[in-house]
Amino acid sequence: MKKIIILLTMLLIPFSAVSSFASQMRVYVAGMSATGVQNRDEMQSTLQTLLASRLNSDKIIAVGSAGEADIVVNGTYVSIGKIFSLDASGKTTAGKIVTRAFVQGESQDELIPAIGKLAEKLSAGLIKMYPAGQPVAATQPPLATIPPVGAGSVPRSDFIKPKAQVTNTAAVWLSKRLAGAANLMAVGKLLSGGSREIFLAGDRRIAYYRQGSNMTLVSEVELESGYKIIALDTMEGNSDSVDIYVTIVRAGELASQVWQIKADKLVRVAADLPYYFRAVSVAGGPKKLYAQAMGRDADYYGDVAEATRNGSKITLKNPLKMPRYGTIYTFNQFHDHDGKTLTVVINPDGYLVVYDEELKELWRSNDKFGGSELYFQREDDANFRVTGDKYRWIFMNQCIQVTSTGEILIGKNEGFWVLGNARSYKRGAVYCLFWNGSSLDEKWRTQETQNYMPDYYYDEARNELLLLQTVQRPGITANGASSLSIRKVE
Amino acid sequence: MNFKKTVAIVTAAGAMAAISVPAMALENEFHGMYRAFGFMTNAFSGASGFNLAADSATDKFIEQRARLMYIAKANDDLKLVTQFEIDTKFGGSSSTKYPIGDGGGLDADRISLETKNVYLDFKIPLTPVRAMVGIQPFNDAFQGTFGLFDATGAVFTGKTGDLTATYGYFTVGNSNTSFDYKATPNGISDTGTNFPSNKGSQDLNVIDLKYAVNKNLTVGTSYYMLLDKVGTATVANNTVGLNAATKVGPVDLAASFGLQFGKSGVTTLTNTGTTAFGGSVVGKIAAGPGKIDVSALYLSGDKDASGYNHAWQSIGTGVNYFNAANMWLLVRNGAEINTATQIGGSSDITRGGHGLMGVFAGYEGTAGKMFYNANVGYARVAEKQAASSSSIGTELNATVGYKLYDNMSASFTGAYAILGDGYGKENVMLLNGKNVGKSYDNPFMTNIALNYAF
Repeated sequence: MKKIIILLTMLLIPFSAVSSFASQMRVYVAGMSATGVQNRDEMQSTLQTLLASRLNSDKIIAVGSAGEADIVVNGTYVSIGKIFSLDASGKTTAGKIVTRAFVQGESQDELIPAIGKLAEKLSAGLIKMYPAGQPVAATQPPLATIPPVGAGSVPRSDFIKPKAQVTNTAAVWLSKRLAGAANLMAVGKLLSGGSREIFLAGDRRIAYYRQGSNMTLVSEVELESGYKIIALDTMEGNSDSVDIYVTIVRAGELASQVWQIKADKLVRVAADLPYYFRAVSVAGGPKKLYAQAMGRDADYYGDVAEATRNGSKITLKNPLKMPRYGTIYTFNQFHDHDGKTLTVVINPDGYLVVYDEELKELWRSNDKFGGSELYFQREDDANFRVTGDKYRWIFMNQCIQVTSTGEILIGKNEGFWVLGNARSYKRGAVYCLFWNGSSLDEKWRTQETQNYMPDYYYDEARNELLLLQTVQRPGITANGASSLSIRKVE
Repeated sequence: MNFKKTVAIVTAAGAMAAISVPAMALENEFHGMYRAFGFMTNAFSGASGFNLAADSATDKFIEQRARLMYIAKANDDLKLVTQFEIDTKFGGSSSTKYPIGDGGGLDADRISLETKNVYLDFKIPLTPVRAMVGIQPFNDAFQGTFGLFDATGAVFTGKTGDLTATYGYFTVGNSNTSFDYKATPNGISDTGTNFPSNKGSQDLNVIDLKYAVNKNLTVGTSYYMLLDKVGTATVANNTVGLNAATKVGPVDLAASFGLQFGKSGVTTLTNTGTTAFGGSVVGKIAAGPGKIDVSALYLSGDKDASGYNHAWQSIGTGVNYFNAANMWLLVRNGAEINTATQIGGSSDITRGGHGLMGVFAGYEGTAGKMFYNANVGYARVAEKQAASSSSIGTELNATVGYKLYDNMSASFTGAYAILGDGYGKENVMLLNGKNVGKSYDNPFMTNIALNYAF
């Protein structure tokens, strides 16, 4: 009998250890954006490491990826003069913010102690919210609690959830009418006073706006005739400036450019780069610059690779193999619950396709997403007599964004006239999906815009969704007009 | 086994089959185009070929073409592609394809719907091979100088890494259509689609290999074998070729070279062999708001139109092009619809065995919604045969257009050719060997075009 008791005791020891580990809240510090400092990249990673180590306690364990986490922390560090502010929020993997905290300091000497204080505040908020240490519901809502949104249900908020929980129409910010129909949008730096840089691009026009309580046009440039902008991205460089990557097609070939803001003016710093560019958070990780080449026959040639720029020289590393239909603009990745990296692609017909790590198809959506009127053309003499068109039309699509919590965002446009190469969309929306282990389920979606939505951007640090709309299409005598709406995601 | 059991098993099997078939969401995809030309010219009238003449009168006419393409797409790997065409001359016109007239006449009610493509496009399961079976378009690796056509066949394309391999089989016709190379005066054929072959069925076998060495260089090789029945024997006309496309700085270059050997399929010269060749270089250089286009073409010709043949053999006279030339009068333009505007009216780029040498240059650009191009070209036949000169002439043309919508444009084109001695002088000419005793007028052409493609 004594032997049996000893044996049972030994068997129970590992279980108790597992139980103890399981009771700790798993927190991932996704990123700390830094504004107003030099060596921004270095500062961001340093802040991330410092905060993660200070969050560690007997109730909280800092983990290495969003896929393993119950709570994901995002933060900002803003320095104005000598004064700095550290702001952070903790979100469940379902996207619900559970705590916010900030700490201010008056000199750099106070920075490290301030991070400790910030960690204490965050820990207190998290432990208060989840005394048991396991916000189970946050990792993945049980399927039973997600009834499909009925066709007859009347949305009462901007985000149609399984159960309308928040009426937050007051949170909507809408710009005035912006001159020129923009196809693309990119967000730059956060500025002091809470405003931020926003860049819009039309076919040949790049406009620099400052978005605060109003949308103020600061500077704009128009590219030479024959150039067409097909993608617009921003990437924070090592200096205080933001690199604006403008992917351009000229005479059927890539001739991309990089611009910067200098003294409130747009200044070109590199040109004729033979790459498509996209700055994106792949699998919810840190935002990186990616590039892909164009081939002689293939519109997108070779792998998608991380890119770094030194003047006009682009260096590629860490290539990513693309699955079928995968190009720099149609793919993203996310982690499943087992930590495996899956690739999601929007195919030319608008269906989302999920591939496993071996790039074999796992699932595809039954609903269509995406939709863009933006295209570029390449000469196609071989098919001139077949299509009657000297050029081949290559349409861009809505880009897939993946948040640090593994949510998948995708825009969707619908129209009355989408026929071959003739596209005219009427309204758009952004959908938020999550991987339930076997398919992508809808988590929420925005109300439909009243206009074609050429682009969107989810500002995860601010938890805001920016929707670009075409309020008037360009015509023979008019350049059209756009508007920007910003919605808080709750 | 009783009846109930049988029904139950069949029902269960049917249900299992229905479950195991992947979900099929039929996509309906439509494309199409409409193009109308309003011509004013002293050289052609839309129905009666090309008329070089002394003291030629100016004529005008309007023609249009509509194409409708419907694709029934079951999934990414299976689709049925259909395309139909309706050609019309304003006021109506009858032709071989529209014997009782097109729909351009009064009350319009004529039968004028043509089949252009009907083929099944599918991926062979568990392989990287895509198959296309039916009436489908084909484009050669020689800039269209061998053949750019629609035909019945089966084409299999496999892609592995950067290598693309294609095998195609087409039945292109029956040589009872009897193109008689030797009997055609000076090789210029004015009408009809003819095949350089003898009696019996004609089968074309195509092998194309293309390899993308890197993003700036693609190389390829081709082998086309046209099989003809000559009496009880089968003879072959072989074309082997190399091609490459590269980008060097702002310059895009594409080059191809083809060598032909075997029998040329000449009706009365079944023992006559063929050795011919053709080559082209096409360059596009980004400059300013557009690009500079330059190209050169050489297709070998036959010296005497008899005996051993040295003339480049296209698969048919109506189905060869060199779109990179951007010409209207020296070489048929890729935008042409019902009327061939090339001098001679024939769409045979080799001019019935004379071959062709040409150099062409131009500039095309855009200014907002406006687009424009201007081109100049010189062409001569490779072998003048009995004519006193090989020169066809020099062409100048220009187009100005405006994009009214993304998919629709209106444009105006003017083209003028200064005839070379081979056509324009009073001696023995290339065109049907005529000697009219007077110089022909230089041909000109203008057109106003409406173009809508989706």
